[in-house]
Amino acid sequence: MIARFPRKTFAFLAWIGLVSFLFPHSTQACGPFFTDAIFVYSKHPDFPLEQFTTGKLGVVEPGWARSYLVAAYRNLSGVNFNTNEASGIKALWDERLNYGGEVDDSAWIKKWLDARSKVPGLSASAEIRAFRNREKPHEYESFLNCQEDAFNNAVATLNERIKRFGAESAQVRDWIVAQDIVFSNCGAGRKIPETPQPDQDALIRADRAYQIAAANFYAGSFDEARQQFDAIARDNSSPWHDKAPYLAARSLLRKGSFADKDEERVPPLTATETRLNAILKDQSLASSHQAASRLLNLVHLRLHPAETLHKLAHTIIAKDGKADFKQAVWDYTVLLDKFVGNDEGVDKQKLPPEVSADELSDWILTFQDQSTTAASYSFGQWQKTRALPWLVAAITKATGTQPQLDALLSAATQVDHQSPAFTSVAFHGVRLLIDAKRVDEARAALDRYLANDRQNLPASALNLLLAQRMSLARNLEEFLQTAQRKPAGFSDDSDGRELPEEQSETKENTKGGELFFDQDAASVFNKAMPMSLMRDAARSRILAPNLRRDVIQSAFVRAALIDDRETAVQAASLLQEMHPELKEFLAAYQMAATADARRFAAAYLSLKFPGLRPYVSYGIGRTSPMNEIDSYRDNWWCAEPPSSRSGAPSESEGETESKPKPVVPPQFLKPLQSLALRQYAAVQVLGAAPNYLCRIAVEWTEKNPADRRAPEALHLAVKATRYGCTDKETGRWSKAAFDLLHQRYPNSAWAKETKYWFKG
Amino acid sequence: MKTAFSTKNITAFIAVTLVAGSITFGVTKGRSFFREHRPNKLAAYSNTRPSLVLWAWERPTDLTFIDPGQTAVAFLARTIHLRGDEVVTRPRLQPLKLPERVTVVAVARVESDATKKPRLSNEQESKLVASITEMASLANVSGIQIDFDATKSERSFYREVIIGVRRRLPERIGLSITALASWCMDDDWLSDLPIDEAVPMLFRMATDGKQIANRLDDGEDFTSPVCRQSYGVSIDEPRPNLSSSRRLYVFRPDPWTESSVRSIMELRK
Repeated sequence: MIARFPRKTFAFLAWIGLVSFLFPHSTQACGPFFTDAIFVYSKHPDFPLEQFTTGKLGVVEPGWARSYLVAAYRNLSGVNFNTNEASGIKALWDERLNYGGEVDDSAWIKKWLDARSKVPGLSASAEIRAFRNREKPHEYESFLNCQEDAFNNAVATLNERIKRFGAESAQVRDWIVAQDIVFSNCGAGRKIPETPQPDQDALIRADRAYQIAAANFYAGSFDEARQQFDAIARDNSSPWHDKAPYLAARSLLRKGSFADKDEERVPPLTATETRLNAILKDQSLASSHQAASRLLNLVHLRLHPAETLHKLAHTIIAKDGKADFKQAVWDYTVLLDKFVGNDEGVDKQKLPPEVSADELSDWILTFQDQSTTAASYSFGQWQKTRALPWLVAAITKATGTQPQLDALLSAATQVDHQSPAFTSVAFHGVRLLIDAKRVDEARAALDRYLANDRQNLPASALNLLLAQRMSLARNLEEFLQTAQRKPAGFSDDSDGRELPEEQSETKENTKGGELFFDQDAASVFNKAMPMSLMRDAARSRILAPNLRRDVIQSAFVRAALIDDRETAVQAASLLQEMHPELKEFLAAYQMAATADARRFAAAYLSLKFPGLRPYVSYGIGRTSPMNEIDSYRDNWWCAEPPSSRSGAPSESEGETESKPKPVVPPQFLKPLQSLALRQYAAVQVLGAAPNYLCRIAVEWTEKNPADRRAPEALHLAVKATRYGCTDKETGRWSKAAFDLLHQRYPNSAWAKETKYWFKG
Repeated sequence: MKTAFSTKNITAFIAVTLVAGSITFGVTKGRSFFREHRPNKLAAYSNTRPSLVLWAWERPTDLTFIDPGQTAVAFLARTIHLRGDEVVTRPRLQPLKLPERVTVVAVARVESDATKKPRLSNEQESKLVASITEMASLANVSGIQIDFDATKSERSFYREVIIGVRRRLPERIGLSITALASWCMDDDWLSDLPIDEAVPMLFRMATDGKQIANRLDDGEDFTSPVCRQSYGVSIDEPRPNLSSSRRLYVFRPDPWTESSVRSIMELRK
């Protein structure tokens, strides 16, 4: 809150201008969202997904969408995709990741209106809406009522009638008037065209009968529509008689689809099934066969879901089993989702047994079920079949105390390195060895994989293995080598789907850096590494330049905060090489003779360079220049080390504050943990930077009022309380610095520039 | 006697009078307009609606189990894309089932296309106003809520849309908008809008979200009066200390269940 003590009469207006200038130009209610590194994808396999279809599965995750698990199962079973299948499933992923491809109803309607406009002298068409409300009491839902084929058919028919009767003919005008009425039902209401006059042209009368049936269909009068289409089907003189049987079936399907209860739903769907089968057998209706076949698939999904599920599963897992592979996988996963539910975890025990009555569904559901029952079942299935999918499922669910663990591990080591299963069994094999405290074996296995298979591993899988190896590091060198990782992608993850951005989009944020720290590595640096090793890490050339720079600056700031002068001075020399612009301020620190003077020199430096902090960043980190205020308040430091800036927070019921995960340091750091924790606590107790910096500035100024840096330091300290991390104490420190500045240096330029203090 | 007033003076006097008169008229008109939508109206809006509102977004949702006396529903009724000159409206396609007598608010989510930026023309404004106000004709709807993350350059357009929607809505239909927490705190451009409520969104916030949460924990309140009727939270994020006397809008990323609604009711006690 802005202080209520403006120093000038126009202060309020100035504040309005200042605030409106400083807030970012573009903000979103749920955001803004920042691009950050994703080291291991959790929602889907690594991109590009084409490589996934060829068997480069990485570590298969139970949390993935089921369409990915379909592809994984096929590959693990040794039945590779053919070209048609690979492109089909890829098209499915493209469509689902892009929200199913937008329905372009405005384009359909425009096409119709453009055709209609060829007929002169007509009044303007009323607005046409393709979507219609279900109009059920206490329910809210719309559906796509008039689809693309309706408008295309109308355009084609109109063009033909214009050709036959002429654009200015009465027949064409009457036809359009009736068609306008048909389309008025697309959005709402029930309006039916007039019955044709007996003396009208036979073709127009036939068209009218069709239009009346269509109007009833779109108005939701399905029984009338069906009867009328049946009548048209019986009229061999009608140009619509071969289409009408299909449309009558469609009327029945709509009726059944909109019914709430089974007794209302099943009979029309059953009748639809009968009719569609009859159409498919009738060669005279061949023009409707493709549409009827698609519709029959839909009916089967609704009438015989379990049977259809298994039928689809069988064709999906067989090589070359299905011409329309994309549609088969789509229908299969939609059906499975319906049985299982999309959002809650899978509990196979709660499902009807017939759902898992085929090998694909059985494997997917077991793989996704996190229970111990599923784990036992997987192991049993692997023992029985020795099939690769079940080995992957079993080893994914196993623990280090598993009975017959060695059998599982032995089987894992026999998997060929080119196998689609290799990465999963390698990762989980190591996990189990670590779990079983067989650390040397785990380390040896990882070293082999990283030496021999690194190039073939998807980035997420490589990062998982590097994380494992980092946890087993025997010394600082091994730690640094495995701490730095190439992200699998970059994303703002604003919708939680981890969709990666193009490299060109992220360059501005990454500034050419390729390697970054994941959260585990950053946490070790920030909470589990004593200053002596921070100093060694800062000196080491193993780290990529951007990471080394981050370690050096954090080493300096942290050492300065806890007055570890020796480390701070050494880090200062390194920091100066990386940032020559800090030279003057670092020199002041190095020459400071007392602890107080050093503290102030370091504080003054931090105030001038808001990008400095005692912590190493995870991911991309802060992107603003070190000497500039970040407009999203990522300045100086908070009491806790920084976390990822991207995406939504991890899901958990929000009744309690989310707690930071405990840090598990690698073995070589364990003897130094009590020292590291004491040093971390010493930084934490200083609190958020703005409070601390204000305190140091105030204390120094009170003892050294003649220091020419003092007024500027006080000004910058007050500013820090505006743009940095704050808490309940911030207001009092902001006011203290503000008051001292104005009392001690009332005529200084800094006092004039400091019009307010901030409560935080 | 020669008059003391030259033509120049008379012209200047008339000009000053006209300017002063315009200012007075504008201020008076504005005040009377705003007076209609100020504290009494805000309080009246608050008092007529349950204090707990569940956001029902675009997924199959069955809320027939809720108590209409205690819980209202704000459901995503349509998503409206602003793209070039176009206003593309998509209705809700997933079923939502509600009990009888529940208080219903229809929400319009407005999005600006990132690649084909909206022109923000008068015509686009009219179409957007029409699309939003149309929701008032949905059955049992007693309020409209606009969810638009307007950028700074879109604010004046959004302001005109809100004014246009308010003019076209029947008096009985309340008008609410969602708001960035920062709009409610230090960047107030909402206070003179003809709305009954601005719901500060206290989830998925920017980096300064923690600052705002700290300030609320500290007992500070939102600067803008329209933001002091309610809060918007998500069930999967920690919340700052909130006044239990204000309406709470709650979002849940997963489907609503009886137990999740029950747990919110327990927290509110």
